[in-house]
Amino acid sequence: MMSSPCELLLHEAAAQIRAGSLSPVELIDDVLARIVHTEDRLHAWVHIDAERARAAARKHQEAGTTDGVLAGIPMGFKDLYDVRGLPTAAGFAPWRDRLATDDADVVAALRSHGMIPIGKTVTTQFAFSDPPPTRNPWDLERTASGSSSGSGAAVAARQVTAALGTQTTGSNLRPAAYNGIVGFKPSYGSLSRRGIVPLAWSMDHPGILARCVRDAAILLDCMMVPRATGNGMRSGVFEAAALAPRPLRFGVLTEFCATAVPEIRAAVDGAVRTLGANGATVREIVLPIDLETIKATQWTLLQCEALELHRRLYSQEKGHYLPRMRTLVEGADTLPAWAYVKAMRMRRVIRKAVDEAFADVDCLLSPVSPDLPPLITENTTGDYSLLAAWSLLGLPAASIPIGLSVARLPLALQIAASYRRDDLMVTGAAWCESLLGRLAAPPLA
Amino acid sequence: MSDPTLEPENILDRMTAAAVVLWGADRARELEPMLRLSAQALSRIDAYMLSAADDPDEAPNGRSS
Repeated sequence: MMSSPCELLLHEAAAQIRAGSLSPVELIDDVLARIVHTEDRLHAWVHIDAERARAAARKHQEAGTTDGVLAGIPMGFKDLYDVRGLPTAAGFAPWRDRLATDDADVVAALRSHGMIPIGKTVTTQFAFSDPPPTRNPWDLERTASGSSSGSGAAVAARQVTAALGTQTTGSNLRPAAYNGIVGFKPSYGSLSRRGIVPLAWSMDHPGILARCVRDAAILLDCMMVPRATGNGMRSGVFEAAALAPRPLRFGVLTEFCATAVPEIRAAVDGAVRTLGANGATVREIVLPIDLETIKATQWTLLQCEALELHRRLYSQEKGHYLPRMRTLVEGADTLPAWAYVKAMRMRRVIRKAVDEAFADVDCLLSPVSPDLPPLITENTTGDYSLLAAWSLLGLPAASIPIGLSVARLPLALQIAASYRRDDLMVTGAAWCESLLGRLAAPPLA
Repeated sequence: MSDPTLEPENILDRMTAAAVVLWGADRARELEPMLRLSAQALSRIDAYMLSAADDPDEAPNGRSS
């Protein structure tokens, strides 16, 4: 039986469009129909631009410009990204009508390859932790996580072929894990952040959400282009890495694994055994700095940087700040001046220790989150503990699904590589995916 | 020996005093869980840094973009 167009992977849809067996209009119409059918339960979108998306698809079709690597591919963007002609609200009511006059750099890069933006996805306010309305397509009583909740849920639920999120602590890979899809958080500074609402400059990362490693790699190829090279170019390095999976030298972070609930720990243990049995070198790694100190450092830097970003706006629009964001700003304003300096010094110490951990391994493995997606009633977007290190240090990290729990919730593996070795992250993720498989669609009829 | 002003309770006291000035006593009480978390974080970092070897190149300078 033929797949419905909205169910196709990005590279499959692009190949069919190039071959003429699928039209961009058919794909966009099917994706929009899927959104109409499921959105009242999922709450993944804040703005759908159906008219412009259809017009763009028709233009591709009529002009015959269907040979771009993303020609006719619909994508969603977390509502922190500027998308020309659409509002960028960042979950903040006073910005509801703040129209973007230009694309964020990475949106422009994707658009230059033929990508069609279909709308803006739900974010927590300013990418912090006030729970968003989005539901998890695997269990509508559970969170889709945050802060990239809308992008994660929409991609998993086949509402869109791929989406972008962001990560300052764990906001891209945790939604990937909770929703059973692939997430990439590339190296800090490797992707432009221009046109994206910041939360903490030194740790903000654009992120990719897709349904397989190859798709995420194609997007990374299109986005990670030196500015001087210009739009319309792509490296091809990462798709090539995704298409040539091979066993690597993996280190398993035992302290990270020990914090996870038994079901996640068992799944990661099982995945690691499979990797070892298929030719990978696997060794246990214990970082010389404990997880709590890493989290403390990341949290301190986040507070200081977010305060500086929000001080003025907060004084003007305090009433529109949600409770946790308000607490973040007000609490951060009480920090002593030495807090930031000390945390910066500590980051340097952590970086050195983690760099040394990569001396004999290509990738570090751990769970993505120590818990399964919490219930909506728990009023949380989930635990970020195991993601903070890679955001703090700017290292590339990926999340791939590795199965389902007894309650049929997604389980995930995190794969981190050393700085600017995004190619190893992709190779490692692709190899793990080739052995561990992908998840079928969630049970959201 | 660690500086006693950098114990979590000392840091919390100073942050609470600042919160009272900035946001008032009622709001300072509401912020207490967050301030405690932050004070514990700072104390933990401080304790680690006291035991870390001096690094002549440690002037803060994150990864450049």
